[in-house]
Amino acid sequence: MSERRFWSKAFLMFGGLLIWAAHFMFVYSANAVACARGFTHITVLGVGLVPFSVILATLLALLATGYLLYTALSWSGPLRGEANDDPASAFLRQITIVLTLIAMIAIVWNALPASIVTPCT
Amino acid sequence: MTVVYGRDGDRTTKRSNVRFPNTVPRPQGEIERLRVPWAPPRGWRIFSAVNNTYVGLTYIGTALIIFVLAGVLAVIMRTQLAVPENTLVGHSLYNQLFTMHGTMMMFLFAVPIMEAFGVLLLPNILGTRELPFPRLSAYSLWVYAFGGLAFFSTLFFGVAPDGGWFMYTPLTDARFSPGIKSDMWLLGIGFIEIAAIAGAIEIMVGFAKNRAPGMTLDKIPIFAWALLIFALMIVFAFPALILATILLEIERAFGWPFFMAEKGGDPLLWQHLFWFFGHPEVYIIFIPAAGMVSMILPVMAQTRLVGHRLIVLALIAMGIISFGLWVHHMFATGLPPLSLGFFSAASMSVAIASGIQVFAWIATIASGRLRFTTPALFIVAFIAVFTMGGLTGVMLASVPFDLQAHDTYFVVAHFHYVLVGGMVLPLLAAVYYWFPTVSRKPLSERVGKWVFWLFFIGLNVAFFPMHITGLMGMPRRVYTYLEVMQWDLLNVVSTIGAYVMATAIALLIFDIVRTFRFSFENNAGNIWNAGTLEWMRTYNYGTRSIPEVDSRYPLWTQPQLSNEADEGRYYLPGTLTGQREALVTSPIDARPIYVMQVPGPHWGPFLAATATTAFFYLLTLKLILPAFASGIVAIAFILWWLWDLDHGPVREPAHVGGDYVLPVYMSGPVNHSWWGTVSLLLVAGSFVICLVFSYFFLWLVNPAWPPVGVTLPSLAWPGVAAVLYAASSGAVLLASRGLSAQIQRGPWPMRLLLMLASVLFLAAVSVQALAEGQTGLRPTMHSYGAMVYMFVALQYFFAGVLVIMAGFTLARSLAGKLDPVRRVTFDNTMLLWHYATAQGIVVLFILTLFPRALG
Repeated sequence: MSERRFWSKAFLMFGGLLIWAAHFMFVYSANAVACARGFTHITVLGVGLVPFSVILATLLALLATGYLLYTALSWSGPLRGEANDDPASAFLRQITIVLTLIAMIAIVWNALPASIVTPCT
Repeated sequence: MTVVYGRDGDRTTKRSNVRFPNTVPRPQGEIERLRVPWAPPRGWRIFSAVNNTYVGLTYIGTALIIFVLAGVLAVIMRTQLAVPENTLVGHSLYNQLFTMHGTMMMFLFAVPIMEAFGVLLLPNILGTRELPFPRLSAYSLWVYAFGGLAFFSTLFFGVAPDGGWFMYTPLTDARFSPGIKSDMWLLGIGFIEIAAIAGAIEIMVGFAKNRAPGMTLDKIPIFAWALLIFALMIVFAFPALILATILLEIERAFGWPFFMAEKGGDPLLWQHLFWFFGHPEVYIIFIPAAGMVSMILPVMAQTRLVGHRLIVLALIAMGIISFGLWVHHMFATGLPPLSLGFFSAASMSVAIASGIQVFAWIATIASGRLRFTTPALFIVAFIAVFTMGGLTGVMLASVPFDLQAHDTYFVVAHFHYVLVGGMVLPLLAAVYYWFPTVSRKPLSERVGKWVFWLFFIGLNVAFFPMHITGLMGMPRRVYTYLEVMQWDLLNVVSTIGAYVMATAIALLIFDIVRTFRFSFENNAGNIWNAGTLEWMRTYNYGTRSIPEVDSRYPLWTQPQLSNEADEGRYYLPGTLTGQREALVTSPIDARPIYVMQVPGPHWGPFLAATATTAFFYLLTLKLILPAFASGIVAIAFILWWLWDLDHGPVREPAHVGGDYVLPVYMSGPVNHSWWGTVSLLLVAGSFVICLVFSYFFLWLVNPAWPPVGVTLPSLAWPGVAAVLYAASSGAVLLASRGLSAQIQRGPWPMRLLLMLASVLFLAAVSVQALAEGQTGLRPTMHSYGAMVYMFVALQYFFAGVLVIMAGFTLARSLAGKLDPVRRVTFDNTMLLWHYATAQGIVVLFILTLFPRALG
């Protein structure tokens, strides 16, 4: 396997959790900025700015992780041409699928406080 | 031929009619030629040894000494707290004691000993002769050993740090901690940062590039996986600590106000940076310990590890999710409730990954027959104690409970259950388990059982009562208490427990001293009937030939493997170049790619570490010129050891076994050194991300950014700087082409372009600095100025590194050691160059556009 293929596979494997990390940093930063700059009274479509941005970020993150999951399930994109009965590839595929699923659950779990906790006070 | 049946994951494979990669008998003199380059130096020259076995063992020994020293400090503290209003230790010394105890245990014991086990065991576990950068390992060891012991000795001079292991500002800034105690911590930790990152790079590249053929990703033992996650976490977490210590030291020394609230700084920035490192640090310590458990437990139960894939998965998930927990150390700082909610949720989710492992271990015990040997006892105790610590962790992840228990002995009880239970117990199991690989005799089982029971009982007697002491309101870090508080009984019980633990450790040391007879070649052997490669017969050069593996437990599925490898039937049974060599394999399917020439003994690492130590301690004593002279000497020694590394293709490709005819040199992305440079760039990138985070954080806490009265430089300045940066990288690209065309056009186009690139890069940074300077902005005025000049200083630092690397590359060219094929030195310089350029341009964008858009 070429070095380039290794990097794309490694990225795919960690991809779900990296999206979780990006989502986490975004929702945390968005709330911090909204509280520090007093944006919390703004509403979008009847929803407060913070919960709205959390919902939006969560949907985007789920979309991205969903795409990764689809890629891993179908071995499409950068992984096309791998032999599925090769134990190393099968291992990578399983790890990627389950890690991405864990990331999706963690993304939703992490977003939940926004539905029950007030942003700033 | 013996027919061997092995299980590979869920698939059953049959090994029959095996054709070995090499035939026997081997040619006469082959083994003698292999032995010569690997022989470690003798006598006083042993300090120049770089063999992973020697370095690893010395590393472990040093870490154990530090463990004992830090433990002695704990016993002194417990003696002080045994009775109310005790006068054994005053408050000033007590502050130093708890600071040193925490700092030494966390930084100077827990992380280094895991790296030490990695250096010692990883090559054998992976079935390689050596890790890729042995001189770097040796440098890491000596920096750590000199720095660590010097750090401890500050106690004897009354200048040990006293601000707590997390050194919160403003307590530790120049106003409230004058003198050099805090500097000792800030610069002393510099050692461990260097040592840890050096070790991490070695482990990461070794994991990816140096494995036995056939050890595909699904067959790598869990400890190696754990070390990989550990190393990756160091790469991403330590830069936050490096940045924090640099910022605080600069604030203390030069008055740049990063943390001073009255000048636009914020003490909470320190906490964010510290805990962004500090929380992953807990997992940095725990993950390799968990890896040890996953290695030892199946052997003690004589069965395969249940849920191997799930455990790999749990380790990766823990490694990443643990970066989203840092604010749970800051629940009491007044952050917005929803922010706390996000961290509370993440803190709870990481427990799931830990839980997966615990269930897998229990299932492993259930599926085999556990022999209650000393390592097994420590492991079983670990599962119980760590689970209890984990449960109090879940309690503390709940914000309302944390607000009650914050800074009380409940927290002390929690983290000692997690750290002693989660890391020290597996480590003691590991000492007992792997001891026979380095000694003629194993440790005594009889004494071992005493050690275990004393330690286990002592641990619980010492730390369990602290939960109650904490709930009764006893705060942390108090050097005494009043009788009327009724904490005396619980405290004396804890003290007794500490003494019992100390007795256990003393007994262990006694047994080690009594039993240890250093030997690899005549070690006690595979006394546990383990299945992984570190139990093969090894020598200074590792195994005679590099085995080909077909399962996760090769010694179980290929019982004759050790003998076969010893006869030279597998890969690379001799030496191709007459030097130390190792096989480089592909990262996923472990197919041999090329033969790497491994660096041998050298004085460079030892001497460079000595000069590095001098640099840091002279800096602490404010002896600036001697300090920088030492720094230059350290760099010179490092360049000296690097000088003979890029060997080039010293011979034509040769047969190593089977169908493999491999080159002895490769450049470009396949080269191990290229991977090392990429790893270093990850460290640099993490550092810059932390700096950018700090910039945005300070923007957020300041009403105006830049502050009133400060003007921004005109857009022309950063524009010119960006063009100069891009031009310098362009010149390096042209130089690369010049090197490729060196045979036709000679070496001078490349040399001149590299010199031009250096000038352009320096000019770019200088334009940036001048642009800020001409507006009247000074770093001491406000946190805005401090941040801006910090970015400039960072680019100057990179400029310095690039100039040194360009000079080194030119020197190699002039010496005839650089050509279109032998170009690893140039490629590494080029990689760093492009990174530094990209970083410079991104920084320019942030400094120029952000204040205009949102300031």
